[in-house]
Amino acid sequence: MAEVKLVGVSKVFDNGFHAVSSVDLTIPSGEFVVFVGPSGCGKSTLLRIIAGLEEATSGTIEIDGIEVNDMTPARRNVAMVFQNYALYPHMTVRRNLEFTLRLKHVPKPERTVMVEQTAALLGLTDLLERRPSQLSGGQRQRVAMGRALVRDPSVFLLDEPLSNLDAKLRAVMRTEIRELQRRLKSTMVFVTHDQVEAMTMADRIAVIRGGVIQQLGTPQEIYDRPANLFVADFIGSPPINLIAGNVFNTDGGISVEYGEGKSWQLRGSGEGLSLHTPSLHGAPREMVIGIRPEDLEISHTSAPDNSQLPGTVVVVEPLGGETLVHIDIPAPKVSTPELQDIARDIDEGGLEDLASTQGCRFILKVPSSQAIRLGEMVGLRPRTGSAIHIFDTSLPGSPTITIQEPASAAQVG
Amino acid sequence: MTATLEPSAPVARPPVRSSSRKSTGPRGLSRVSIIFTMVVLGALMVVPIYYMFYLAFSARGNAFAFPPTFIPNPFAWENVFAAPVDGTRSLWGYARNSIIYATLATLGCLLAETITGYALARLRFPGRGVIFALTVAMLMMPFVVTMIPRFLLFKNFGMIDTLWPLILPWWFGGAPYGIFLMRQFFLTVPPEIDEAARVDGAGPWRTLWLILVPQSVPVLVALGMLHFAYFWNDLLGPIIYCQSQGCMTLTQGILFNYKSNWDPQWELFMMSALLMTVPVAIIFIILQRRFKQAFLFSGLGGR
Repeated sequence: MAEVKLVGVSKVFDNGFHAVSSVDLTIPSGEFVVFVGPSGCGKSTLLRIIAGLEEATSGTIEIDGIEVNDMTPARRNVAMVFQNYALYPHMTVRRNLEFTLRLKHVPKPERTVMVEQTAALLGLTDLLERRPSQLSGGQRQRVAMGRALVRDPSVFLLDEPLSNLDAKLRAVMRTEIRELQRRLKSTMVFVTHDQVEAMTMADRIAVIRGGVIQQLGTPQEIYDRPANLFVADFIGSPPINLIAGNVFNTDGGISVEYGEGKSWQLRGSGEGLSLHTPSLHGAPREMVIGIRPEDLEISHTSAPDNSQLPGTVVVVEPLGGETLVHIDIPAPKVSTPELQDIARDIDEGGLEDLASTQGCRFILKVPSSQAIRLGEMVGLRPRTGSAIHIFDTSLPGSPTITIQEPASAAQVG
Repeated sequence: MTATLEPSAPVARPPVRSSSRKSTGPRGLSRVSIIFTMVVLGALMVVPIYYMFYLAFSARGNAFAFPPTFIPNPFAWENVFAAPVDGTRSLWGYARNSIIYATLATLGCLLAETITGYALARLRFPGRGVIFALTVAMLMMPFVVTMIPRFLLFKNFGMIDTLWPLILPWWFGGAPYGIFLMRQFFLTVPPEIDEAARVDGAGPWRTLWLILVPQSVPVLVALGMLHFAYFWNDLLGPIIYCQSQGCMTLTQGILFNYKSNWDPQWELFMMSALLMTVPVAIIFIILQRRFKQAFLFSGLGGR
């Protein structure tokens, strides 16, 4: 249990690659923080810097108020769980667990007690005399956790520990790790490229791209108010729906001109949106509009004005409780460097992959009671109380405006 | 079902059997040529060994009898018992030196190669690539090139006519191919294992001895076998440094005992050589499987 503080931490590899660029981050004691981002974004490097396996080029790392830059991993009192578990193959589970205690010259009786307590905590008692090669993936994972737990470290660092497990086991281990962390009240830093893992486990998520933390916040904050297009697209499954065009204020809402003579006026299903968007003043500018799958609704009747975005239903995926509806929009696909980054890093859902081959495609989450026919022409409009995210692509950095419609239609008046 | 959908399919289907034989060419010829090649190669290997047996069991003066017989006639069993003791000095004395030489030199090699291989595989330091390249280049350096300077060096140390000049050099670096083999093996161990050990509190030294070496036992056994066989059979080294009988190894001793220029005792000479190979052969047979495993690890063997 300790606070971890990173101040201006950067890492430049010998080949000149900037893996981490001046990261400032404070992880309070007992917090579960998840670093998430596509492969090669620097999240593992950052974790390894905290662990002491990688040296920071600049900046300071503090654990529990003590600068640990020059300390060995062991002296930092951190424990790490590796993606491939890195169990010592020639040792039994017991020896694996007590290895670190032996190095610390913990007397044997004490050692035995500690190992057995840890084993009991993780349900490993019956496996103590086995070797890693005789264990299943889930059991190995647990031994790796045990090896971290046994020494009672101040910080746990987990580097994609679940990615070698199958989907079902992964879900189980996810909750197991989270429960364990709550019980022990330990500080944990968890690296993953799976945004579902990040969303479900984290107290706070740090979304990382190109060695820079794009946004740090609770899962809900990040989902509701993504700081930029990258975060918006990376977090959320199915991904956020994006459409690009010239955006300008209209009476009671905003309009997006997404093609020659085609525009979509965004209003709620009530009277309209109330917007507080100073940066929208002025001439229409090329921007990207993002709307979460559950924030849109399907209308089967065509509206005379352009308050609905027309589209064709191409895929219907009933999930039981709800249905995912894929709708092709007659607009160009939004493609920016950050979106391409994500598309390259397809997660197991494969949704980005599918989308990458199409034009502009929206995915909506609708109640399963709603009847949707394949090939049907429909109109889309935002739900009342939904959030519309506007990302200004013309400006570098993160000039993002999140427009939140007032929660109740009554307020809109 | 394919046939009903597409009538031409059975015709178009490539004949499976012929494609599987593609690599061996037309059947009859390849078979004969393979067997012929095997027989010739086999004979090349067997003939010298057969001849060693033949000579070893020939009676005194009968080694080059004409016309030759396939099996020595008379079959001189007694050579087995005579060879070790019949010479100027019993072979056991030489064997003691050989054991000391081969064992200590092998241990030295393994130690040095493990440490060097680990450093080259795992530790980051400037010039690592150059050192590795030089190590590999050393493979091309024959022993005879360094023979004389080495002799002069040990002469200055006053170590001539002792076993030390044979043993000591191997404690300082081992053999290049051993270093190469160990490095290759360490590269196959995931680096996360080292990192886990580091996080657990082990430095490079302890990581090597507690984590990596226990995993490399098969490689070490194989390498040890190769080294031991080399030192056991070494003749040139002992000839350079050993002058008195007390220092001589088996190879040298056998030569000294039985191969005088005017009256070589071929049958005892060969019987001694035969007896000398027995321990190495036994060890080799016992450890054969580990041996194969090790070469698969290193990527030196075929896949």
